[in-house]
Amino acid sequence: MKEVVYDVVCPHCQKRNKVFVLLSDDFNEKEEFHCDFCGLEIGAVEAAEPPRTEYIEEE
Amino acid sequence: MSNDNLMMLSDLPESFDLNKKRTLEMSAFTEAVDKAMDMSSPKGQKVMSKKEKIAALDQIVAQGLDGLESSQMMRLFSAYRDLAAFDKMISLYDNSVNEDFKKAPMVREQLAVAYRKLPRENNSIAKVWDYYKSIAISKDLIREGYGNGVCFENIGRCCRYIANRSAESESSSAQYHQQALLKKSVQQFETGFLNSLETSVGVQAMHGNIMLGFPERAKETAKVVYLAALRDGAEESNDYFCISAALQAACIAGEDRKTIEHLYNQLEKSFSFSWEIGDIQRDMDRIAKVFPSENIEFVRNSLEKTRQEVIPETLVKQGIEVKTGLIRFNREHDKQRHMTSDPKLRAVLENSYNYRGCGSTFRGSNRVCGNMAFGGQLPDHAVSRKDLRLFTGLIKMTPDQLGVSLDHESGVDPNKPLTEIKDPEVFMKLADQLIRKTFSTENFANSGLHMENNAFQKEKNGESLYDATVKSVLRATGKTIGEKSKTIDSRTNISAIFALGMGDCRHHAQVKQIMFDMWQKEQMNALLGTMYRTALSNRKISSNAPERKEFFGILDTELRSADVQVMLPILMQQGKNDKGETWDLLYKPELTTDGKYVVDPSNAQHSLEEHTLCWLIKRNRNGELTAFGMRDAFYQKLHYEWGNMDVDVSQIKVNENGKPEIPAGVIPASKSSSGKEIQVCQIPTSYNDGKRDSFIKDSIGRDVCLVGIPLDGFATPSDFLKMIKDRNGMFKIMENVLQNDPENKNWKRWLEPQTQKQEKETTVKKKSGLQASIKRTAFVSKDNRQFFDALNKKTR
Repeated sequence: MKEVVYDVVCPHCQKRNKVFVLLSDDFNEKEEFHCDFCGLEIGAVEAAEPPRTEYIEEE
Repeated sequence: MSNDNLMMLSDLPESFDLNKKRTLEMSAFTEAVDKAMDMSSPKGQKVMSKKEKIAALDQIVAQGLDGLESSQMMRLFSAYRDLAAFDKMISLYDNSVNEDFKKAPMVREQLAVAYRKLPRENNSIAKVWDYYKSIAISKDLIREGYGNGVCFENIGRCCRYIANRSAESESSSAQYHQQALLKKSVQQFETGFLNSLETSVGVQAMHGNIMLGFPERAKETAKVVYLAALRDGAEESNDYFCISAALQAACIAGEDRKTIEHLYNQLEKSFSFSWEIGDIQRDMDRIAKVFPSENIEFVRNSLEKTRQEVIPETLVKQGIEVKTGLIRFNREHDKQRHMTSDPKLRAVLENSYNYRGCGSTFRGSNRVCGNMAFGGQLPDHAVSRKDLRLFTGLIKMTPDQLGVSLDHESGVDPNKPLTEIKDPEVFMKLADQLIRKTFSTENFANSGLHMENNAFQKEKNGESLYDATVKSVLRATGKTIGEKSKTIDSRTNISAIFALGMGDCRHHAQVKQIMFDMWQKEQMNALLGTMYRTALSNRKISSNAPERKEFFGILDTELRSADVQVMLPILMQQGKNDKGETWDLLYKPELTTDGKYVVDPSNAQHSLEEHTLCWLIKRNRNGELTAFGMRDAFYQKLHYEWGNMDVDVSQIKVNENGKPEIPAGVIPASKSSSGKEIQVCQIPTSYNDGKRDSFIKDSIGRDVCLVGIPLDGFATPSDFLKMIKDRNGMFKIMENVLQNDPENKNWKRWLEPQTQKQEKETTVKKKSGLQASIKRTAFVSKDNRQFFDALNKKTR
């Protein structure tokens, strides 16, 4: 398994998030992920486990 | 409270004040939760963060859970879920004292998912424990008979995730354990798909078999998954995962290029984020290794072209896979929503809707919004799992049990369930009987009002008895007509309105639609089940299999509800505003003194009325419209014969906006000022945009509501039938609601016994053109009088 990191802008609050997705070498499952700042769902992604998000604080 | 305060329909006439209080309380609660979740920020202030939102929700919880109804608990539960606050969902569930909430299968399904998703940082042991807890909740539901796709899918996922964690260990026993868990995971997906025939579970059974090295089994599974996706409307879906599953299954099953191209176009339209392209590329690459084909190469090449178009290489940084968020296409997508190049078929499909696939989603309840939040009188129309269960229960009953019958020649056995009927026309005849009997269409609540006249036949106060009853029921449920409030819960389940028997053309169409769709689903599922059992026994499903042929026969015959304008070349009375602008008044045609329609000399089309009805659409496998007909449960006896009117497909036109113009019979020459027949035409209303349902967040999936008030008495289909058959009881409830309504427009006096009633002559303009103005004495119906006399005696 490998971890990929997506850089995602939340469509609700426009804050940037890092989305850490663990991918298996085979088929993955659909899992939703949420903005770490406003908490709302951003979308769903194929993953080997529910992903984790981190809000990126910008200056 | 340990249980919800459910109201019996019979309590409605005495509940005006109680429901008013309840509505205000519920509305205040909804407002508080909505405020906590509000995204908009006052000028100059920052957007509320997740932490702040959770703190605001925690404050509501801190005020106590004891007095909260299931719908309120569910609103909080869903709010935490929407914020990914899975720990809060779990503690809310643990602290709830409302047993109706705690026992509801939909709540427990979400609880199981909350355990699965609960983040545990690097605590692997705690996470594996969560997965086992999640599995246990799903297993309990299966044991209790609530094992739907969500439960099996959850168990399968948890097993897979535990297997993934085992793979991290290098010990041979852990790896053996991993294989066993993977097999168990696939077994769960297979059992889940066999039980539920839900696409989301089937696609995982298909993937699982590829992973385990069983390509043949995966291929046969894919054939059934593809058909199940079509059953749920994948052809016109906008959901990335639904179309992605359908496309993968179609590729593995060996469907033709036309199908693959259509699904690919749909998929491209569904892309929102760049990783979606990467995900399906990864899946297609794996599929290509096991099932190489030209179709798969087409999809892989198309995906790569799309990726290069929307994701410039410069944005892909070295080392980690960082991608931008939203995708922007610099070109127009193919707008076609359906697998057809026939403009007529596309036009009728895109301007109508059905319930195929509805209610099977995770949240489980869908609504078509009404307009009460904007001050109107139309409540939200809700379809939940409960409605599907109740109506499916009805179609599993016999004509005898339902109190309907057809003559001997129809071949219908009165003692066999409706599900055994194969001919859709025969099924619809029986459904129409049940619908018209329950809504007392031809004599509303024994009042003498024929509902087909309702739009045209008003008393001097501007209302019909039906209109007045609807308004009184709205007030009895604690609503203020004309009040604008976004937080007013006006959810009205189709089961509630059917049991009460208060319905106009919309409700007639909705009930017929849901009955027909459930009847078709039962038949399609029986065929899918047979085919999937073939796959599970490691045999091939032939492309000529009789089950497959029969499946397409059902799939290609669709009943669809449409909101239409009834257009005729006749003059209408005119409305006028302060600026002197004029417009046609709906339902108000100009009539000659002898009551005939006045034909517009310019032959321009005018909208006589807006109407909701069902269309029956048949197509062939080439995607061509082969047959079209009106199958209206409402207009059957008066005005229009739309109960069973076939339309010559060659006569259907499609205008420049892609809207169909459908010939809908004629008004006879005897009712026309010109002495010639008047052609009637249907076109979609301006607000008709096909499927329009949205999710309901405060439903526990088990509740049946009447204008936002949860009702008792809908536990089983038999209870539902009992109410459907109790017409006199329901008439009495409606009459009592009307009598007790302090705001009704003199209808109380109208309902008083003849001896006490002030004789009052009412001019009723029957503007359908069937008759001129009819002078009649109010309360003319003999049956009506006898009915209310009998009621008064009973009351005394």
